[in-house]
Amino acid sequence: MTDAAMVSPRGEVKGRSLWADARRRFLRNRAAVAGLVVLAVVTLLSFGAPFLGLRAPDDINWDMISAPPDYAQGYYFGTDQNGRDLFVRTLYGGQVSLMVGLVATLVSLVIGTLWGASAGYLGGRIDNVMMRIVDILYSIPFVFFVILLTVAIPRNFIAPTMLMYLAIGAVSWLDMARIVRGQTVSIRRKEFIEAAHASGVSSWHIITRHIIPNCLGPVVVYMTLTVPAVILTESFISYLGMGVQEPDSSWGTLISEGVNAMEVAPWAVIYPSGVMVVTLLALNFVGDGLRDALDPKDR
Amino acid sequence: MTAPLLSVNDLKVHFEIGRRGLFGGARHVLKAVDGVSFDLRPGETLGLVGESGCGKSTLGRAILRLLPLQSGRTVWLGRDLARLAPREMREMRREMQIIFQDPLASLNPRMTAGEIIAEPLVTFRPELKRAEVKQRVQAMMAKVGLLPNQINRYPHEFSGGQCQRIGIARAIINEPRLIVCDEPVSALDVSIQAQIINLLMDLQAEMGLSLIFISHNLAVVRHISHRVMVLYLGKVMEIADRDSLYANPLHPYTQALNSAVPVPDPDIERAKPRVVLKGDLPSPLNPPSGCPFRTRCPRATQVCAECMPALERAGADHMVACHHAAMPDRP
Repeated sequence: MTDAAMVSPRGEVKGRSLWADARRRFLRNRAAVAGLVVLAVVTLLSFGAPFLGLRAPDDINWDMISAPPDYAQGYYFGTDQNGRDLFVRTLYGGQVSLMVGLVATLVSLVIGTLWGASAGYLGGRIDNVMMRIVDILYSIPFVFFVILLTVAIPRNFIAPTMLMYLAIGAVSWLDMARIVRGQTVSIRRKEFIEAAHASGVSSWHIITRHIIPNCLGPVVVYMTLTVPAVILTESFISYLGMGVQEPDSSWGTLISEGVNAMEVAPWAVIYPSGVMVVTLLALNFVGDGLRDALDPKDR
Repeated sequence: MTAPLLSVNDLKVHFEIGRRGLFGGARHVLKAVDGVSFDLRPGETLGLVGESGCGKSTLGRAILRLLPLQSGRTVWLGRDLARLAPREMREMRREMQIIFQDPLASLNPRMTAGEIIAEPLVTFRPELKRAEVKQRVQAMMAKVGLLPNQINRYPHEFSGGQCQRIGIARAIINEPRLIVCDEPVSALDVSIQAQIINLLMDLQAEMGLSLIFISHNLAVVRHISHRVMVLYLGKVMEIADRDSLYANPLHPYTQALNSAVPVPDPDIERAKPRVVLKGDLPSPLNPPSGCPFRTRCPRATQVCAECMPALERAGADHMVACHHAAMPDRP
């Protein structure tokens, strides 16, 4: 017996849970750990930007309009055509992009998991109705849906950024619901579910205690892949001009503005998109690592 | 004779097979259990034997109402379980439990042994303090032969026999009166099988449990059962007390099953008469008319194809459903 046989002060043998096993495998995966580090750095810089003593994101320097990167003066990414520091704007834009990713993923996690697990466990007609609702929502073109929302809901009623959180969140749980339902259907027939049923455990507890913990593996992996997808979607909507509004920025708006000025100021598109690409890559590496760690059979 | 703990009367479990999607499609009815009746006395073990697919497990699950019944009654101490509201039924589940064939699959891989064993307890007695639950779980672990200090281990860290002990601890923690054992030993090593069987018998003696013991291993059933029921395609062929059934099987199917049990002595094994059945189990979707066993029965005649023989008394505690049952010599 190795470290698994460690004995706690009360003389009880410590168990080695499947999660602990997965954590060990994940930490052995270099690419995944590197991705996690990059992600942590980007997140800390973005949300710590107000405390780093940098310029304000709407600080205009009339001497530096569309200036290339200048390390001496601290303009690491150069400036845009309004003379604002692109490094600072990229960090603040990261706040919006990462928040969208996080919020939408959390929404999809909570709604999608509960919806999918309930449909899969209850089965029969309820399952049919619940999953057809998902199909119907799925068939609505997403961009169309967002445009409708922005037109229908007045600007002074809800901030455009909030609206985007709402819209992306409302759509992103559909995939999750399908994945969780599929998992649930396969778990539902297992004997430990029947044992719980035979022990008088209620449906709610069977779902929360037995089904959801057992389909969390694919869910966690899918979550890490949802975040980059959502960030891309946000960038796309903002690129179309329907998401984040000036003077706020997101990676999408920065890239959109950068593209317009690409011929005179290439740094305005290279740097923000570079940061975004690195972040998305890191997220994908983490997702890959998690998949390998949680499901060692598939390697 | 004491009043039966459980009285099953003409129990039927039918499954609809085939697409029932948007566009319909052919529907077939699979009669997994078709008109089974028996009584179970307190403290008794009823062995349930038969080939794969004859409805043993379905019957066990139907008794516990884990499956919907087509018709029939299961009367538990005078109360018809089928009439109970879901809430009342959940309350009744404290009294009846189940042990499964695959010990590992019957334990949630994300829960520790302690959490698994405690689940029925905290479900029915949510008022218990955490320390008390833990103390009871550890006592239960000791009772089924597990080390109480392994309470925080996960199922994959136990062997198959240990997992089955966890399943047994979970089943008995609420001190039920009936446990359905669905092939509890067929996935285990022979040496472990004996341990588990003896554990079940000890617990039965100690707690006055009734057991419904499902198995296709006749030797094991003989060891543990007081009475044995033989099923074939969802119908009862023969039900008798153990000694009578093994010494004097009346139904040709029971005789064939019995003769297939190997004897651990090559001389006897070679010399003993063998009843070899022709063919395979017919499809339960399209069972033969009359007696379901007639297609493979050495004694089948015209009457067997025409009607199903009724289950008739053939001895003190011996019922058989055969038109041509070899009647025993009556004293």
